[in-house]
Amino acid sequence: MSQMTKDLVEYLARLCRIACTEEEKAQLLLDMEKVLEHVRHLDIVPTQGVDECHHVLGVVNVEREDKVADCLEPTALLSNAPDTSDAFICVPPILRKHKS
Amino acid sequence: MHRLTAIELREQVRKGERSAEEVARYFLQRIAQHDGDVGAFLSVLEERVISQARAIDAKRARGESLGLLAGVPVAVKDNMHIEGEKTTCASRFLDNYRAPFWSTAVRLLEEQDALLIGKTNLDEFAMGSTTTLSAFHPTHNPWCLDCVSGGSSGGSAAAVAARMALIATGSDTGGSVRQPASLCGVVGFKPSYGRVSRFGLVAFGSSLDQIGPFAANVSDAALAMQIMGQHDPHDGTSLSLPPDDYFAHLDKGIQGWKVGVPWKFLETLQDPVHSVFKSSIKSLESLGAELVDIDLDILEHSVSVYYILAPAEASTNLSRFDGIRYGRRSTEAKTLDEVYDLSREEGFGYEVKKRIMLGTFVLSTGYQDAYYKKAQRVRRVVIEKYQKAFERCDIVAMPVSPGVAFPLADQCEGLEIYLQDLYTISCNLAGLPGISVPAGFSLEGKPIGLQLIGPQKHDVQVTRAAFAFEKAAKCSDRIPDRFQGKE
Repeated sequence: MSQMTKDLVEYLARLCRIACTEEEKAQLLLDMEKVLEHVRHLDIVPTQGVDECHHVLGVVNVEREDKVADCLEPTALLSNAPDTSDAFICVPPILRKHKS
Repeated sequence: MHRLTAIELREQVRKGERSAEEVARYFLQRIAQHDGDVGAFLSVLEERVISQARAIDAKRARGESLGLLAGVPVAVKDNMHIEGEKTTCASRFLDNYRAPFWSTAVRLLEEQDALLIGKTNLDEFAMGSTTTLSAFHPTHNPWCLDCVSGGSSGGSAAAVAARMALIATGSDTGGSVRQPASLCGVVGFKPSYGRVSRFGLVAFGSSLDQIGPFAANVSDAALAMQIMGQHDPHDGTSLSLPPDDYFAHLDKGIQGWKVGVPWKFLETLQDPVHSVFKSSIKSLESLGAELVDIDLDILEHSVSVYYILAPAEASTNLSRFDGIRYGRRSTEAKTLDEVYDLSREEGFGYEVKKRIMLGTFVLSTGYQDAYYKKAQRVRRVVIEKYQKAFERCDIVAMPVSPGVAFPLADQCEGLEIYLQDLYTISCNLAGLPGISVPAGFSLEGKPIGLQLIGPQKHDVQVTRAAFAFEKAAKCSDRIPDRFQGKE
């Protein structure tokens, strides 16, 4: 049974923050359903009592003391920003201005 | 000069028989002559490499010792950083991005006096198996210029196949080093997960990605691994182990070894890959190995596991591309939200968007249990099946790809392409070392590789078996006629 719907594709595009065109959404609907139809076959693999694999090497997080060390220069890090002002990255307004 | 191995060329440079500058200019000339047909490179670092070569020559003139890769031309996949140079990931999103820091693996190569000659083409953000999904141009297979080079590290594989470089770096998330190596008739090695630092590699699937080398032969690939395979405190997943010594037992052979072959899983294999695989297995037997039938039937599900987990991880990793700090920012965006939505729409290709959307879906509420968590459990089963297999054998032999390089005009896409990864993906799921070694050719002269897979952290076992097989198969170090050239 098809799981992908037009509404679901629209919802996912909003979650992904990608302004897909209508043409793309129509193609994504078909292509994603093809992939999901294939991957759903995993249902037949018995996995009762099997733990999820969270790390392929089975390593765990370790902690260390905070150490002050050299980091990258801010100018280097800002050099790729599309628009800067001193040490700030400039962006368009978060909110549109409302006309009163 | 291009017919030399990397080790031979290094020795000539070390002894002063050739200058590094002479080498650099020679390979730059080869790129100028041949890359118009191949399209392996996205950028050629002409000024940089000449400057680097002169520095190496000056070192030798001062009597200083030269590094393990002195004067060897190395190409770098364009998803790994060289500080100050562009890293585009073959994406419009990053077509103006310059790396502010080094990829550790690449820096280690330069510290050994490698000549970093250029950045190579890839499928956009390493998502693909053909190198036709680059935003800029496809890469053509040097053995058949109408055919794909494989992917996603197709540019690196093709650069070595056409001897525009003697070593190249690639990244392998589901086969993206081994598969183009097989299709381009070169050696490609994916180390154990954590063996090579991922710092400075633009992430695709963080639990799957590994950097690995391409070379014309196993010894040169082993040399690159000797250099790159080091612990890196900048990478939290980097193995805290001393570097492997790839050369200590490289030529000791595989007499008495048990080679596991998952015959039932390989039932659907067809010619020409099938006949080359059968003769490869005979070669392994002639080297004194014993064949063992092993159960890896679970691998028929590996594509499904991968195409849930890899897009899930990619959807997270690519959320950093938001038009704010670097990369493309849409000129149409009037609000902050539009910066995100429009920049990503304009910057990403279709395949990248599809994988991000798929990944978001399998991680979303209501679907996560059925897809993502289920895939994580099956991944655990894959790991355990391999562990059981390695109780009965020292190495696993499999094909690399179900087919050979197909025509660019065929435009295979989507699921059909994903299924090409059937034999390579499980190595990444289980974090195992795997290598593709040239094993034969189809009737049309298209290369076919043999894949050898070892237990986790037993990378030297894999290169040792590969070295022995290479001597028997005699398919390494070959150059397509068109690129033979003269000295």
